[in-house]
Amino acid sequence: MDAGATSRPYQGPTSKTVNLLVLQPTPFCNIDCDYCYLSNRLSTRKMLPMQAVEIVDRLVSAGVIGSNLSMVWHAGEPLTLPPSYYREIFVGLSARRHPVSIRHSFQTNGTLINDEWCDLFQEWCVNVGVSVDGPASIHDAHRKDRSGRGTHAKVMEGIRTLQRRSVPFHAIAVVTAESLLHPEEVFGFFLNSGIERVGFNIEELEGANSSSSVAGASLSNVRRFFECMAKCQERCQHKIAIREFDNALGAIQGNHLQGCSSRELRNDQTLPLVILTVAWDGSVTAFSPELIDASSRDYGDFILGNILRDQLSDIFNSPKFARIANAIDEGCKRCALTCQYFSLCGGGAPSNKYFENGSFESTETMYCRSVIQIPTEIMLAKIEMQLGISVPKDRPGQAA
Amino acid sequence: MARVLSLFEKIRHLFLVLIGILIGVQPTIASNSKSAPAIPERLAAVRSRMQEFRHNPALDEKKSDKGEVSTVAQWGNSWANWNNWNNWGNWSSWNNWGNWGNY
Repeated sequence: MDAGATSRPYQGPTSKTVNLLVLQPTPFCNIDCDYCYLSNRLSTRKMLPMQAVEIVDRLVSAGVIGSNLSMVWHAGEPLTLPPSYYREIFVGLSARRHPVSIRHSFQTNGTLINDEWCDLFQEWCVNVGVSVDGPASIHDAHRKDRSGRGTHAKVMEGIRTLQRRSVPFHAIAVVTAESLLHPEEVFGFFLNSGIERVGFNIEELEGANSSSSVAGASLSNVRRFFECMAKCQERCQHKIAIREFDNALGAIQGNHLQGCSSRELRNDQTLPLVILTVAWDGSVTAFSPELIDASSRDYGDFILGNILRDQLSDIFNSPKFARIANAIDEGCKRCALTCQYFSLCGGGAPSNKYFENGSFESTETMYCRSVIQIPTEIMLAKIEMQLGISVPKDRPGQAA
Repeated sequence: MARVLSLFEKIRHLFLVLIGILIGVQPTIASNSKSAPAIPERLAAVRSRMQEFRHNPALDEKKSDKGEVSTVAQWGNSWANWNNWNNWGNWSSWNNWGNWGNY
């Protein structure tokens, strides 16, 4: 519980611009993954195309949009609405001639991808992420349709369509307890499927997903999983880019620290305004996008206002925003004091802190250990070897 | 006898603590003195070594002469993608989000 969270005006660090706008065109999803954090996936409500355009208009008018903006269509299956829906929005935004370069992205379950979608992706240079967990035996255990059948075959059909049409895409795989035991098979699947960029999301405790198959697994299994990924990646001469390793390499290099003392460091999820997530009805939240559909004893929900009705300044001056922002900032300060990975991270993921530890003011989570610390340690050891730096074998965290 | 031994252990421990304080090292740390450096120290060492490579390409060339893959060149592509805050800023969001510009 965020006992110390106060609604005194927030005075911590804040971004001047929104970099990532996550829009929920509809909460509806055509499949029923058992680890999904969204609770309202049967609702067929939708954001009107003109409302999506208006949201960007309002952000531009409020002066919080810089020269680049990523818009991610997600939080429900975006492809359950037709390509014409998005075309109308993209054309509408283009016609506004806002002084901003907008990059659209879809995170999709892949089951509905066809040539018509590929036309849209290519026409508008859309960034596509497909959720696929690995081979059918692993994927189908959790990613099922509404009648309980696995969706792997359908997803692969979609992936093959993207490949036939030369639409670049990346994959995001949720890592469950089963995947942890079969890292070679998981990597082999991506390699053999011609998928060149993969991000691994360790199954998390968030929102509607109140238990994680990985929670009971030993952290050493997570370490073994990533170590195996690193070995497989080397063996195939880096034919597959792994997001967690690329991220760790970037952070190890340290360029993110330029002009910022490490204690003041914040990341996209801990720095207010960098990410805004807007639900189909205009409800808006900041920080972790997963908060859009979550509820809590401390805060009720995490909706800060309605971007279609309220002024952005009112939203960010509200007592609720202040409470959440102060608690998240307090959590970051504690991370800075207690975590030796802080300079690589900037305070973890608020949603994970809240759902795992019950408080934004808390520090380390399973997400930190598995997605930040372990990949960092693996990459750090690799770079040390390459740079000829000798380090005793009992590196922190190495003994699993 | 057990009480005497216990007392002896306490005195011995106190003696070690005092010696430790005198030489500026706490006993608990002294007992782990051969353990690995912490992550921040390792990061500093790596970054410093990388700077050396950047400022002295000859170091890298030397390696290449031996037929090894150049360290900086090998990692250069990954590093090049992470040259600014914006790119990096996305990475910890890579929970489910972020890095959309790169991936």
